[in-house]
Amino acid sequence: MATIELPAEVPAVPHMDSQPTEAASVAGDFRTVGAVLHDVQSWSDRGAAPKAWKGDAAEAAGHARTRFARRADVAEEALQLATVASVRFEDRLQRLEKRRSCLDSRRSLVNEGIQGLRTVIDNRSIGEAEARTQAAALRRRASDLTGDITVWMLDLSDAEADYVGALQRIDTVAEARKVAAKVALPDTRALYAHLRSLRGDARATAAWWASLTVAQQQALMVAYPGAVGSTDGIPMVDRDAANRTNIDALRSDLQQRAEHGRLTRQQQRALTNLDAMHKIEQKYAATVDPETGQPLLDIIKYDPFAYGGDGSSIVSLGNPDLAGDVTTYTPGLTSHGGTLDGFAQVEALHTSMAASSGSAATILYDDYNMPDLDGLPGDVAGSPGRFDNDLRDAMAVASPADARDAAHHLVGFLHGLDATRTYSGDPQVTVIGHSYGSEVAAYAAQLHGSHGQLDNVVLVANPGVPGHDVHDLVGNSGIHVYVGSDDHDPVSLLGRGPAGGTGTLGQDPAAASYGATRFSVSGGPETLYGLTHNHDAGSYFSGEGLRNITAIATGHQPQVVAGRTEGSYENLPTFVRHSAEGSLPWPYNHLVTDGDVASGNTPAAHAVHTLTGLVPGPVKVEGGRLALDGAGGAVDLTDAQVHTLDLLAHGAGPLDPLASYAAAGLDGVVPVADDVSHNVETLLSDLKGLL
Amino acid sequence: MAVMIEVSYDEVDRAKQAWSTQAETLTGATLRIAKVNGGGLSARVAAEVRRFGRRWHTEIDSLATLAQDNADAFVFVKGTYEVSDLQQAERIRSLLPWADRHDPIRTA
Repeated sequence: MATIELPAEVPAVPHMDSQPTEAASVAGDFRTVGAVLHDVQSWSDRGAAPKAWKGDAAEAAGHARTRFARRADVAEEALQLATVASVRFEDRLQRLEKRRSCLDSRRSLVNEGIQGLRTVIDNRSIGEAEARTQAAALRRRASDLTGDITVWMLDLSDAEADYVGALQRIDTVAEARKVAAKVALPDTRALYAHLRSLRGDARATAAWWASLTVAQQQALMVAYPGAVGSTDGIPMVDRDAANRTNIDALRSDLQQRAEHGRLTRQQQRALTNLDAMHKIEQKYAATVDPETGQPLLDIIKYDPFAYGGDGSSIVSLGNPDLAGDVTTYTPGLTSHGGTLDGFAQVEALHTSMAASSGSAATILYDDYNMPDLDGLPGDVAGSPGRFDNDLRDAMAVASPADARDAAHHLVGFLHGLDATRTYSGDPQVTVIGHSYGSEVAAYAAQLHGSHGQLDNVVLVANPGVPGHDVHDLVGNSGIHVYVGSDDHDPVSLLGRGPAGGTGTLGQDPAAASYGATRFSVSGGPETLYGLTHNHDAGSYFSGEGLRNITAIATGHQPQVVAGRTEGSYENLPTFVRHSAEGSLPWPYNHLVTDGDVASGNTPAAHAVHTLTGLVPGPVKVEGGRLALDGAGGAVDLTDAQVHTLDLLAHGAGPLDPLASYAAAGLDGVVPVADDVSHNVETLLSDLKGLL
Repeated sequence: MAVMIEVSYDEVDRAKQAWSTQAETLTGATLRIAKVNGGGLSARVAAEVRRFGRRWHTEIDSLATLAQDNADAFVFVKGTYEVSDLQQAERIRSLLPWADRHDPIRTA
């Protein structure tokens, strides 16, 4: 065979030294500093000479506050321009990254073609004419690809040069003043007024936001980050950026005040909330959603001052605009939005959903005034001074009014998701509520009806829902109603059902007559401990319960169980009495250690105090023997058992005492304390009083 | 010679607190911009990001210092704000809102 000219293999596409995520991070830093400067500038400007001042120029120049306002103005404008430049740079880098990925794929194909042709030529398994034809085609493809890579490299270089140039043009006060005068910065007040006028209309907001330039969007995010971050209809990626700006600026400001000892009580609570949010930001700082390549955590709304200091938050793992399976979780009793209570359930559910469907977004919706019993009698963790607010919260448990109000906001949020969704397939949208949150979810389903995308509502540990049956709740909207209720969860026995129930909040949706689909949950023990533990969100969002919730949220069928009928379960008073009668061992007797219970500093101690008011006698764990003063007797322990008890008693171990207790192999070795019955009566009385 | 500005105690007190607050807020911003380093960007881009950050750190720091100096100009002694001379009175007046720029300064 004559000589056939094969092209050289195409060299690798160069890596991008500049990463879009880092450009976004720089944009975020500049935006935060810009937001702080905006606040300072706004304050100084309110007391400065009007910008349109036509009087004596020297008079304005001699006014110190006016001079300060003008300087702050230039600094804010510079940071705003730098933010815009950084966002544009990030956008270009993202597009360049996609092009690079395509070029890399083409290169693989071309090089594989070259190697393949070389092999068949060497093997003499191809004719000369055919080999020449294929070689020519490969030469053309390699040449085109090399040219495209060169163009790509030049574009990358241009993007970097443009960004560097943009920063250089504003890197002194004089230059920034000159540029700001030339480019006519957006009128943020007018933009903000327009944004406010669209509130409540997510579709109109989405359309308007999309019509803005990058400079206008960024100017609003610098000047009014909280407003942009909390408005339904603005894409999640922008809300996230705005909220991070707001959080950083607020936290930085409050930290400075704290350093100077100038924090009010309200600000102190807000800073505690912000620190909790910051921890979660840090935890997910480097975690990317493998499905989208974007940061996994989206902060959709955050206000550390809301609801009398409880705070409000909406955060998501996975971007709901892009995901196929979108689930919104509303936690219940005692949750605080500021500290993102309920996030552990969202993490568990997201992990499970992502493993099942891949394209998942799991949202924590902590944006309503949730019942919060801190400070009420029996609550050892309550903080003094919050009693009034907590009392009001407790009253709300008995009234569906707040739940209905919260449901209105939740429906608005769901409509916002519809307005910004870019997922191309048929999305699966689910709302899950636990305890009081499930009441909010139920009302939201009723309000939502068929107006927008809502496929499933999942009521977990529900204390009662409106309407006589599922048709009363969702009519012909097509929304599927699922119920997860453990027969040993006292709160789930409150709804009006075949065995009774107070019915303060409505019907028991787990009743067969209600007509919802009831799925199986792990189920807890009939013990005093179970009275509170069985209602915990954690016991539903684990094991069988979590598997079934995941199935529903990803469009599959859960494991269905029969609804409650008369005689198939115990009503609340019977359940509580049986729990107390020692039909099963009461594990709290063991969860004590010298001094720790009395000082009330461990989770186990809190549980003992809160549930029973008992302070069991001191316990010694010595030489592999556990001595229970007051309970009588002693048992032999293995090293592992001693270790488990030690962890429990000091709060460093798992917060599931029953599971750990069982793991220690101590079930049933100690009799129930004599005075349990008395405490059960007290507990029942408290429950009736509250619910 | 006693010097006084005809302005309420509350307004002067509010102004002093507000200038202090601006100083604290700006100090927070200086800490934030000082952390910008452009890691994860190419060397030439990162260098410019750092340079930009340094330049504006200087300006914001200067604004923070100025705000604190302005707050310190209000001298609180024995339950009231003290004005020692005409020059200080004029300075304090110019730190108040524009609407107060003509508040009379009296000497006795």
